[in-house]
Amino acid sequence: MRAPLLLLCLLPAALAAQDPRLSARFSREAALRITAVIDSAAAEGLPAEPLVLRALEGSIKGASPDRILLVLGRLRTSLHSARATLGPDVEAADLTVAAAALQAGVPESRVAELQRWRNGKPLTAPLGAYLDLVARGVSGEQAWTQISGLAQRRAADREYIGLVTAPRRPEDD
Amino acid sequence: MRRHLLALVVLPLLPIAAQTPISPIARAPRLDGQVALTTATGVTHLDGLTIRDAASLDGRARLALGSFRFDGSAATVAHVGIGRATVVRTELNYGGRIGSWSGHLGPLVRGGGGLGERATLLMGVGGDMVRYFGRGSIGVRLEEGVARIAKQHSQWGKQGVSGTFLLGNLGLGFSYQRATVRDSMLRDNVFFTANDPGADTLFRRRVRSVRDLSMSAAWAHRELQLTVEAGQRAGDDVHTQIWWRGGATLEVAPMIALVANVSRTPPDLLLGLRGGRSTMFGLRLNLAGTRPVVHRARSMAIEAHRESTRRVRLIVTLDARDRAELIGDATGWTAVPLSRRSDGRWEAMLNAAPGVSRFNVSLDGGPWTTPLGVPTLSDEFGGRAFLVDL
Repeated sequence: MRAPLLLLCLLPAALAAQDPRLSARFSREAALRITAVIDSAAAEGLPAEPLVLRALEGSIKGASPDRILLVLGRLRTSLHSARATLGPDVEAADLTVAAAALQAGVPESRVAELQRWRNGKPLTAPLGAYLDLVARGVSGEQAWTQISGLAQRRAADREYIGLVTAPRRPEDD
Repeated sequence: MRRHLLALVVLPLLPIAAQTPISPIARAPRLDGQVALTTATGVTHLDGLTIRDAASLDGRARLALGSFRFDGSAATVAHVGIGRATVVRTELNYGGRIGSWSGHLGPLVRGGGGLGERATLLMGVGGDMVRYFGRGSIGVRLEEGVARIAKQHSQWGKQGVSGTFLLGNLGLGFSYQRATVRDSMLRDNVFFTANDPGADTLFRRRVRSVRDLSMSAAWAHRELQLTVEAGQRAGDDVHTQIWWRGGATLEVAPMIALVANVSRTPPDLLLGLRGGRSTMFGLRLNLAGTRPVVHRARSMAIEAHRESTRRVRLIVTLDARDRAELIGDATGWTAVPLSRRSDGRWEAMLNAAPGVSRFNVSLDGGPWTTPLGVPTLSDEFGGRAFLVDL
């Protein structure tokens, strides 16, 4: 009898803490479960936004809450690994793209190596180019050879963008 | 001297004109294009002549304003001890893109002369239609006109089919082209026409044509671009022959490129130019406009134009008929309608910080998908998403 009452009392607080985008897309129960995962990631110092976005992606694509929670769990693990690799002061954008790279199979040691070569500059350009190359069918090893070659000689961001032919921006020319 | 030899000097530029139809932007017409000057030296061995040292100067301009596109080139080659030849080509086209189709139509003027050959002047109308599909395209081009070749008036025409396919940094292409000249010549029995009541003229109509079937490849890696092309020439009054050309361009600075070309080119029926072999090395100056990028434009399914630290204009080539929607990290995975541009592509203004973002599109109310020819990654929800570096 006490448990339901306690839950009833805590529910408004939980709902108030929920991202409104989640409560608008999911049932109350699913939103609570997803929020719990995101909150626990945030308590570890991980950025919530990539997790919220992934949940919203799953929602609009018709994935079940269980599937979304599974994907969120993987992303949370990758974000955790990325932060452990890059350090606690890493920018959220770098953390997100590093997590994506780890999920794509890049070893943590290589991400750390890249961070050292970049010497404080954002990782989005090199890791974004890596992901783009892999998406094009280039093997991970070949893609890393190209990315690391540029990083070692302190290449500018536009040179990473130049590695891939699309998306193409006029200033690349 | 010969158009083909001259053209080789700017071979790295040619794919740009062929591969990069400039889409009109009717809402805000602005002058866009490219001007380049190339100088080169080397050796040539024209058919029937001896090997000679040669030097060339070549200028090329490609300008676009709204739906109008101008292509022009002028080239001259000096052969030591023989003389100089000059070729001029100009085209003005009107057209643009609608969906995955592109079309252009307009007048053209070409001329050439020198090396003891009589000047040739061609005037006509040309048009092309290209269909883009994912990583490739296929198109047709027709040209028709009148010519003054060696002081004789004639009619000429060109019909061609070509296609390209993009495989990573490698672009492959094929081309079939037929050139026809319709003129007149003295009848064989000219001395007996007095006895031929059916002959009301001393001349008879003559039609000559040549056909070229060729394959080409272009590869670009950072500042280096390589092109090769090989074909077979057959037709009336010509021996069947193989021709080929290869070129390399290395961008050494934003405005400067080193070029090298080697070729065996066939004669030009329309301009009356002799074929031959040549090996040329030179320097190209990109005086204005963007740096040429071989075969890259055809893979251009997405453009991201950052207009401020928060605002990005995303332009996508899609096969949607009536409507298209976009979802992604930058839209909070909320559907955003794409608006159709005058050039047939679709665009959306997004509030997004710089970085890599995942997207999907929906065409005409269909399922969330990815545009053809765009690199994709698994979205872990049973589908795929495409990446854009915003």
